[in-house]
Amino acid sequence: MLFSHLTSFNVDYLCVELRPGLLEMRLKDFMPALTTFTYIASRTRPSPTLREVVVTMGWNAVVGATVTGVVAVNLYNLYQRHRHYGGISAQAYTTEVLPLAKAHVIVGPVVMTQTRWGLLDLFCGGLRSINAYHPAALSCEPFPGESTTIAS
Amino acid sequence: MPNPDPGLTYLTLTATPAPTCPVLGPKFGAIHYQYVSLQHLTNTLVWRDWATRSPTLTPLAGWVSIAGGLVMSMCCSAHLILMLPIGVGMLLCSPAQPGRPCYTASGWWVGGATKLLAVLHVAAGSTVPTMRAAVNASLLKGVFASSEFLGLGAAMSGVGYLGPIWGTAHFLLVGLNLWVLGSTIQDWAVASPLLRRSSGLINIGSGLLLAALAPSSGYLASVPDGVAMALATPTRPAPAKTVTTTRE
Repeated sequence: MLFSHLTSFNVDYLCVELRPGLLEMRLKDFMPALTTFTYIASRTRPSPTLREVVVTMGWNAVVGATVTGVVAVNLYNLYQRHRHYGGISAQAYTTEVLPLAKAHVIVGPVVMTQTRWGLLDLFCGGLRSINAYHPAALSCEPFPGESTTIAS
Repeated sequence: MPNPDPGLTYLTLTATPAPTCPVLGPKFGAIHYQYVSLQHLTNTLVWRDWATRSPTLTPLAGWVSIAGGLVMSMCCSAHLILMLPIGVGMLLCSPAQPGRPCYTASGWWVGGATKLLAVLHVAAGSTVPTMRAAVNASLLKGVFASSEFLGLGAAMSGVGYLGPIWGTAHFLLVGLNLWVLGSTIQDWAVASPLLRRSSGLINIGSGLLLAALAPSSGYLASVPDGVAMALATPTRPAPAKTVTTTRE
């Protein structure tokens, strides 16, 4: 497969593309199924193991503490500037944060695998990869690990 | 499923039951995440133009808006129709002349159109049942009790899944950022002495909301941005050099 991380998405839509009759079947099947999110989650998402939970929460704790610390320092700096200069120079502040804004565009796909592969899939597959005959079709992305049919 | 075409070989991968309900998956979240990134860039550039009293908006801001519309058009072609005129307008618009009413400035209208788009964006999103369900689930059950392992750490470890809550949060953030962008363009167009208070408050609120929906994400960093917007002052013009001559 082109993108192994998104096997279920790619092959599912490839199948739809090859046999357009399935499109009506899918949409027809989906429409009555607009039920609650909790039901979707409990039905399709496998439960993580204890180790996965611990690792994830550890990551979250580290990242969360770091971000909170940086934000606290930033707020203190802003307070100092406001106190001593009677305001915050927008030109100076935007000059400082502009590189961060530029970096944000790159950081997401680099750090998060799912974002990277999702974007690559979109860029390579274009409209057909998301079956976007209708904007609401975006909501038809299944969770990974679901039953799919591959045409090869 | 019978194979209707003998030329095709079908292989069925079975892990869990077949999808019966539509969900917002990683593509939806990823594309909106990237668009939020582009919005950060655009907002910062326009904000700086306001601070420096620039006679035109930085061309990069307009081009980034056009590029964002192109990227988002992969989701829905309406994005291209809506964002292309706004991007072109940002490239061509001008601020109000001193003493003239605000509505005579093309920049003020471009800002207004951007804010209208923000309202349309959020209104259109609220019609999608999965988005409403995602917001309800996160509000009623709490973020960790919902289906996703939220947070940057979860995404980095690969255990977490960028699902409907992540995507919906970014979708709503796009709408809020569009409103802030429109307000900042209007402030630039009328050369207001301060940015309007709502811009800073929306930035602070959206940062706190996203931090609650996706804990340990970087969205808390929007709070200092919002504070800076609320207290920002434009660059004061350099005092004219006074030449003192002494007559003898």
